[in-house]
Amino acid sequence: MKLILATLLLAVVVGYLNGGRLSNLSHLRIRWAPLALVGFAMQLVNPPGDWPLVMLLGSFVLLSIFAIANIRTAGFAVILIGVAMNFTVIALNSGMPVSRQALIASGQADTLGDLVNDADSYVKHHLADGDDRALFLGDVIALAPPIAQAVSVGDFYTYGGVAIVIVAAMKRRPDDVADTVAVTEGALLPRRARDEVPSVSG
Amino acid sequence: MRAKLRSVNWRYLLYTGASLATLLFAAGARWKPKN
Repeated sequence: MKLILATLLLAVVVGYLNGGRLSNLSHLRIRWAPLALVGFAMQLVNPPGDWPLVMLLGSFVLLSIFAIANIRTAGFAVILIGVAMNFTVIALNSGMPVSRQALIASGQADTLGDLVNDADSYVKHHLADGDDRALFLGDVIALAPPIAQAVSVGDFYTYGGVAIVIVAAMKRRPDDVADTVAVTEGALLPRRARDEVPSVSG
Repeated sequence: MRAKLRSVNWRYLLYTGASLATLLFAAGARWKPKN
């Protein structure tokens, strides 16, 4: 939660420093947002058997589709790379491997027991061992307190991508919206150009 | 200032923020125990 809030706040601050405005963010059109919500909800339910893993993989499919649906918005290509990285390592290892060193270095040594003894409740993560593949994509990067989290390279891309989305959307001038193309008599013209076209009616 | 604040579409801003935060919650794979 701290990392998410810090990312959003930092992005807004950078957006302002970049000459952007928060009000411009309301011009951002995010497509198929319910996919992200459903994808998130799928990770919260914990049915018996292998279903949690199926739901986890399914949620990443939805999140990938969500990122692709918005790929034309600045930042979503970076988000897609991050989602793909996390998806890859989770699919390869039936969950995200978390390195013991990253846990200790991030000040979470006391949670080692959760990963080892309560694996059923934490299907998304497990303690990394020698059998895990593509471990470099796992949660191997330690963020020291007060953040105190172990994150993956894919997380950096995902968080960075969201920050780019916010900074770029804040920078967008209202004029850009006004210049949105308008269809006039079969031709696609910027509104300003359309206004300059002499009327042929009458 | 008040006019500026009024010009913001807060409902949509909230929708956008919630969408991005949800994405981060779901797509991020950082380790954070539930308790």
